[in-house]
Amino acid sequence: MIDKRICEKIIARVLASGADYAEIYAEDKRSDTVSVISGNVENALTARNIGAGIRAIKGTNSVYAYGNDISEKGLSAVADKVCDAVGGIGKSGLDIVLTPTVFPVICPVQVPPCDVSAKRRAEYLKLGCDAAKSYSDEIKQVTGSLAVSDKNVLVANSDGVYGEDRRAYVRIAISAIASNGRENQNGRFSPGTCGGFEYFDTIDPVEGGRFAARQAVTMLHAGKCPAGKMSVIMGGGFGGVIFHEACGHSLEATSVAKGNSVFCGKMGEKIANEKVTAYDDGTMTGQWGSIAMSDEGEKSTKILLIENGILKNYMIDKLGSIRMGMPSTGSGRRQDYSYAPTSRMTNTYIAAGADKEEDIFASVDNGLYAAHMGGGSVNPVTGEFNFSVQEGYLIKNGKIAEPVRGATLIGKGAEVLMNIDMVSDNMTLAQGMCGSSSGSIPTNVGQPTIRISNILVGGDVNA
Amino acid sequence: MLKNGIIAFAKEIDRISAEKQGLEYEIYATWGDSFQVKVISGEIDNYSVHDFIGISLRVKTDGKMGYASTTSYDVGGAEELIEKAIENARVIESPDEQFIYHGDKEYPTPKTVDSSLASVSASEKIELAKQMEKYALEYDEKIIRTMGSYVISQNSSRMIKNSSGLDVSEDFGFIAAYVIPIAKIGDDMNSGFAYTAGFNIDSLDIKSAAEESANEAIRFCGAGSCEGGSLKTIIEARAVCDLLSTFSGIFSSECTQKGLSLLVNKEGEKIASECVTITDEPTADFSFGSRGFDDEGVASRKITVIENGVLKSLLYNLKTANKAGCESTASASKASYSSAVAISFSNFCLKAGTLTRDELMEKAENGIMLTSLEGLHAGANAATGDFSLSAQGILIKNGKPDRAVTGITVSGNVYDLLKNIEAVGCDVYANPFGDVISCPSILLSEPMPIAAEGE
Repeated sequence: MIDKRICEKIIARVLASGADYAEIYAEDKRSDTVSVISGNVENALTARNIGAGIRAIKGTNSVYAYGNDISEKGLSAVADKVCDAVGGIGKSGLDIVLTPTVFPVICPVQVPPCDVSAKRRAEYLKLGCDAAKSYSDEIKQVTGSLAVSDKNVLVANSDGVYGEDRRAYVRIAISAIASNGRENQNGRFSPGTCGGFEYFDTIDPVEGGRFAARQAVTMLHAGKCPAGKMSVIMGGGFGGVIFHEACGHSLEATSVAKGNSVFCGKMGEKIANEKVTAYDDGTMTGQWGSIAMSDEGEKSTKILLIENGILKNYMIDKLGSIRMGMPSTGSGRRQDYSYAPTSRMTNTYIAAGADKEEDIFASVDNGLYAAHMGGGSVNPVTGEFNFSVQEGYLIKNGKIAEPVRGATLIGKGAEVLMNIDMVSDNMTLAQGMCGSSSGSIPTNVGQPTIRISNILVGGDVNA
Repeated sequence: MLKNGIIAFAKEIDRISAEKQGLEYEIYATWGDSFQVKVISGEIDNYSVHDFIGISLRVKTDGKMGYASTTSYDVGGAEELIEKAIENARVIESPDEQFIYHGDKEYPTPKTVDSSLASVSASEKIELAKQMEKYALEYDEKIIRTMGSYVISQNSSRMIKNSSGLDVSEDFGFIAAYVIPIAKIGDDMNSGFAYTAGFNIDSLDIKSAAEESANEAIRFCGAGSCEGGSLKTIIEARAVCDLLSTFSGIFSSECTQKGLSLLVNKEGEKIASECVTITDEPTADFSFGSRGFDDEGVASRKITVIENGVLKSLLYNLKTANKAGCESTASASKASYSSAVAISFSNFCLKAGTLTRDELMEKAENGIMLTSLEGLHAGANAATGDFSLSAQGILIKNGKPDRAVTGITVSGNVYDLLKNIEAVGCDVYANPFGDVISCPSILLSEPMPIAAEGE
């Protein structure tokens, strides 16, 4: 994308301003989206996005600039802005030699997704949308989108790295709305991966459309969820959003390095129930959150975060590594060139435990089963979180009873980790987009079925 | 320089489309530059500057519209962009009629740029961020540090040129500053946030904003919970902004036409209490949502959405207005240059009343004033109107503010809430970031269900 000699010149130029570290991140991305509403293809969009950002680190502080022109002239103009902010344009003469770095292919692409015609992409999506619509008369609206993208990323830095990574993403999303005229309820199906269009050979869109429709119809007939403290069983897959939000973010260097995380200085201490072991693993083959090369030119790694309740490591990027005096874990990520990188998650999950799912249900007399979770957010300072339950059921005498809607789970990350007291042996992953200071990136959340012994459920106090 | 490049690119698109038997097209371009500095402990933690450009092309062929966009104005890419947009247009099945707009006779020209902003140097902005952090730290010894003190500024331009002769553009420039102080009392920590923003540096009041954010950090630090139950509720202006902007889509004709809003066929009906008047105000000078034309090039005007509780008009773009047999309300909007045209408010205004916040509390007698609502992107369902959110607030006892509470959850439905507004305050909070919105505090007639951990 950018010639090695040009990168060497630019990096030398930035270092000459007095920076300790200089880095070029460039990308060339194509994306194609089709969307369907009311059974018709409504929109089809194509985008080409090219740009580059240059970062300098001096001490523990950083300067970042970017633009859309990745020619030598364009990059030099961006580099000058960085130099101005670091300390002015100094004498050049530094000799930078970059070494081409080859990263393993962990998300192979057989069918380049942007080579697939708009027509074929639209037809596949419509199969799912039509299946959702015909599921029930109560399904009043179905919207769907199929988004594919393919980007080449280049990182060159003053550590000598000159590496590239190809990242293709494909994802389908079907949303069904059930209505009785007075109220609407929705259901959703949205799997995806880092890889080629061949992924869709493994996903039955008809089954997916029906899944979304069933969820919407079930929730339309659900009563309101009672509020109060209770035992909650969370399903696997997207149930892992609780760990992602309530714990994952607080284990990112961004939060830890500045002393703003509840897990600061807790290395080697018990921060979770002994049943909890958790990883962030960017090296998983063909997974939505995987990256071969970090957005700082490092190799992605599998990080043991928590082992049997004991805090083992954080997710650390280069700047976090300098600030914390700990080695980087290859966790620097960003949405695109318009963001400086920071420590982020990849595929983050609670590992499978030894409990059996049936024993977990049998253990709860009165509680809530959060079969599928919606999104959530967390206050990084206090650890307070809030998650919506997309599909929930009451549990009575150890059995799944009637569906309930409007439930949210509320608590503090540090407390809920201690209260995860049963963990089943069937871990699954689910796809999400995670937003933070370096933009929105694909991440997987995951967990087995778990029991949280005592958590506040927000719902209807009168139900 | 960027503008000249875009104009040359537009000429090339025009030339190629003329060769294709007068292909109808529209070019939508944005460009500009921005600046951001983050200061922590008096030092520059992060400094970021950039230029940006985005060009989106829409073409209409056989009545269908296809999109393609690029970040490069290299004329060599024009042909491919057109081909991509045509390929996309060919898969469209929606029967809705699409429009490339011929333009209006006159356009309002709200002031959206203050020329003095361009001459503010980077070092002045850095100094401002440092000073703002200092104000926050000096406010109280309970403020132990900040998560950052920020100054951001941006100049941007927007241009629409099309095959029907439309050629409009406008510029926008703003500066904003905010700080996130952290308060520590015993083992408890809490953060606060308040901003100041304007069109020139003199309009910023960094001292007041810093003190307000420090005060918020302290006020809720170590705050306990309360007993759950149904409580008489005031929602403070800032939380009203967050709540209503999350649900502003219910007023979009696109959502009603697709069955995604429950306001279908409700125009002319009473859908809110008497004291509710909501307008969209895109033409005020030096207002964050102001624009002379919408994202299809239709001239902006003030729209009354709800007047004294009656739904007067939904928001329309050219497509949905044609479908409904009315005129566009100039509400066409793109999430970014590369997005498809959709619909949104440009400047959502809930009309203020006469009561001060103290008077609202007196009226409430006993209950709670919610000051912030968290988890709106997760716990609020735009399709259903339901919300269930974690919240912070101040208990109200005998008409006076009592103690701060946190760790509570409120739930309700926005359609019901609009009907249950008993009074609106005179204290307007304006949120200029993201969806531009300004609202006063509101007092609800029906008690709100609140789940809490107990004291």
